[in-house]
Amino acid sequence: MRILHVTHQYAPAVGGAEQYIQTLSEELASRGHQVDVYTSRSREYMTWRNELPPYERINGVEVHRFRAIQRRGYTWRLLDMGMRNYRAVLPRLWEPVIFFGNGPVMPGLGLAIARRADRYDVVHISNIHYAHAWPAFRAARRQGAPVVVTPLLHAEQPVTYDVGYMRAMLAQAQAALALTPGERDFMYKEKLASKVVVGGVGLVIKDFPPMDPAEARRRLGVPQDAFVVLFLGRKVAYKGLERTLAAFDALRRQRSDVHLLAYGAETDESRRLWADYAAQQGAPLDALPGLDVRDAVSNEERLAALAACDVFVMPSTGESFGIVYLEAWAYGKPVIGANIRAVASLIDDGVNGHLVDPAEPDQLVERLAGLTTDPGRARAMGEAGREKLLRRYTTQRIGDIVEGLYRRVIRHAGSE
Amino acid sequence: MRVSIINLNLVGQDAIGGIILDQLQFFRRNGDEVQVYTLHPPVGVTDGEAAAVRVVTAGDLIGQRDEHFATSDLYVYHYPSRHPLMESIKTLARGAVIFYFHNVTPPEFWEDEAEREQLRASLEGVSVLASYADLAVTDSEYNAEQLVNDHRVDPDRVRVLPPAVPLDQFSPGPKPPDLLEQYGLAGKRIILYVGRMAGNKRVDLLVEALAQVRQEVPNAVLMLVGDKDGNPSFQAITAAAQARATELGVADGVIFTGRVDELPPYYRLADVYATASLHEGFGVPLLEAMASGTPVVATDATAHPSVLGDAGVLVAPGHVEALTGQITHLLQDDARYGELVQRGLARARDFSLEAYWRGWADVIHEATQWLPQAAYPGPVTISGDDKRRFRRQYIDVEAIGSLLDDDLRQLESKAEVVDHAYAVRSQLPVIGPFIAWLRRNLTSHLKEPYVDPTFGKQEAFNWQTVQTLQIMAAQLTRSQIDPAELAALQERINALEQQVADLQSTLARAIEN
Repeated sequence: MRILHVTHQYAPAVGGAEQYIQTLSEELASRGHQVDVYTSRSREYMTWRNELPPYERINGVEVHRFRAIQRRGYTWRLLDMGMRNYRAVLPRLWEPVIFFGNGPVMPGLGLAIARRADRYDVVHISNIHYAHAWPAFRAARRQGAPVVVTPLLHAEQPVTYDVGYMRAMLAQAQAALALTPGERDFMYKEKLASKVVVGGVGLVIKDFPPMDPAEARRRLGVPQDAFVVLFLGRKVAYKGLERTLAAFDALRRQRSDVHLLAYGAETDESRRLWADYAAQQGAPLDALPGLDVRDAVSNEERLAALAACDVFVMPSTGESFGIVYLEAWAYGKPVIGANIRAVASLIDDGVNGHLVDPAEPDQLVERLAGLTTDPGRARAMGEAGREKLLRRYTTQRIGDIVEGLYRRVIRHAGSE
Repeated sequence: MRVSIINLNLVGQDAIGGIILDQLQFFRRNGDEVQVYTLHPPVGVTDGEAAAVRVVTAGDLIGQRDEHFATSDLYVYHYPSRHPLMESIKTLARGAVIFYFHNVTPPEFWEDEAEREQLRASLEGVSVLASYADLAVTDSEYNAEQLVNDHRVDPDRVRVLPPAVPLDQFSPGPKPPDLLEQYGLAGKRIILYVGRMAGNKRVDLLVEALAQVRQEVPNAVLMLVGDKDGNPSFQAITAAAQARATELGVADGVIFTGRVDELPPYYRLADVYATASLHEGFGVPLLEAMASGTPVVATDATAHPSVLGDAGVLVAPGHVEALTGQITHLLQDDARYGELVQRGLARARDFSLEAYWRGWADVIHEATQWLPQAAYPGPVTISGDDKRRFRRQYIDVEAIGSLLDDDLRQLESKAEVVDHAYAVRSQLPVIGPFIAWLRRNLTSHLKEPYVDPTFGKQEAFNWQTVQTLQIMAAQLTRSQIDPAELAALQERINALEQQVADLQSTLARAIEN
């Protein structure tokens, strides 16, 4: 197949959306498809500054970059004005303003697609709320190329989908790709799109190389015979750090070999939490036994922590997918998450981890205690999780889904 | 709509052939143009059915040499194993595609290396071929799990649709005298098995079981109906089973009939249907036995439990004692026997042709939904016009239960009457926001205390109505009596009355004497 991906930014720019489209492009290219990417020269969405080279070949993917009009103060103000007035008066009038304010406006990209769309079997546009999407969509449809869109919409942010041209794109595209079942259901419920496929998140398994847990513990300075609980994530309130700490404290009273590793960027909330805890214990934080708190960690430390732990705990109540549970499974560790919809659709309670009610702190302590007394079961759960990961959530699997989707939309276009 | 159905062959008597014929009839009734493409000429079908079949090569399909095939809107690919016509799924230039998975027997059950290789290739082919399809359809939950777990098919695109059993052909009846005579079975208790003599079916266990059953029920015989020499390994398995029967001294009670033209009389002949199969994608003979009023003893393996429900006896796989025990028990306990016959008959009615067609219509609607012009009408609004069309299309008017279901689903979707997203707006430039603000504030004295609660009440009323109707529909469906069942009951009452009258007259005569 000849595939064209259109996105607002591409590697070496960083970000979740960039990562998603890069993984997908490289997976498809490795299957022998021709994958071209049209994108902007920017690596920073705040300014859309033209920094990156106009052409590059990255891991078998041809990346063509186009100049964008840069974002300055006035563009931001335009966007703001557009969003404020959009709902009240003459929505159609404000759409171009929102479009321009969002950026990156790239006249060259629209023209290039209008001229060359017939070279591709399918055009895949991601991140519909940026300004690369609409001209690309119109140009591709004019040329009769089937279009797949990955909206990457956030249900709680209407600005990412609820503007006329974004809705039109979703409704008219041959198919939409949702990252999670929740996102799909949302699109159906809001009548945004009628043809949605879930083909979202996958881990690149080779990014998680096997590691000896004993070696990992040595590197992190954790005793070999300890029972290690890992919390990994940005320390904001909804991630459930406070509940994890309380459970650790309760568990520590039962047995002294329990360790808690709490890694991830600190926030004001978490600093306050640590200060309170240290005061309550009557000792400075780094002197508390069994507690290892680190701010944002390097990738090596992160992987070592995943390999070193016995159980991964993150009773977060605000996950839209929960990719970090997959990472724990990559190292064969059981996971504990909160019983919310997104997480419950990922973790099978009692099979590859546990789900706990966020309103019942005792449940978490109970589950953890259960795992400390039955290490065989914990290991089996971790293995079950790893199996599920390899079966359902690898990039290869996502590649399968997306490749199948392309084949179908291309064939359906033949019925037009 | 133009439809192409593709399979290796079309054999009227086998399970896949039966499904294809049901589909053929469905499309013809709906006025669709339908063609069946096979590699081998059809066997055991009527002339009318054979007229829809074209024998082709893979090249014909891939090269789009057949006009009907090249311009179809829907392609139904049946997958019994990897066959050459399957490859054309990759070269289709239009239309919706259904991948119909009939499961593949695990290679380890086969003796012959070449066949094992063929089965392995068949298993490996599934994930790639299914990825071209809009929907993957299969007979049982067990198969669906396999598609998702082993063949990496997206669970959102898998549908389960159990096949139909032709209830007009498979029905209870007296033991056919000609067969009793042909096999010399008068006065015998017959244990029946139907199927190929393949490795996964474990007919050797049935022979072992017979030897043990005979200790309690000396007049028991085992009848094995199905292909015994179409394939070298079938021959080997048959020979081995016969040798074992001789060894156990029950060779006189083991009958291999080979393939037969008409199955229904054999089910009527049987007292018990038994299978020791370790792997079944569905198990159509179980259904046929239940529909014929023959109780079933089957292994608790793969799709068997979901087909039997609570209407038969399940035994541990590979366990001869359990099999023996259950068969003997059934042959000796008349009350339990009668109960299982009744349950089996009721269960088989769930797999009627009408039920299959309804499910099939839904599947086709879903599969074709993504086409630029959806070829099949979707769920419709409640307006009278649409409803008439819907009824005429594919709902059997007799099936009141399901019709109610559809209507109720529509009612439910309409119950929410309030447009919660509505906001007061004005299209005028500049003064628009002011006008909107004015209108919002001028109507708030009515809207908040009066209009909103009124609509709220209406909505609550709608929900309650829908719920009450749903409960009533459920009760109604449960209380319906099948006319056939009623007739059967009436017949039994008549027979009993006759018996009572006979006894009375006998008694009267006895007293007189």
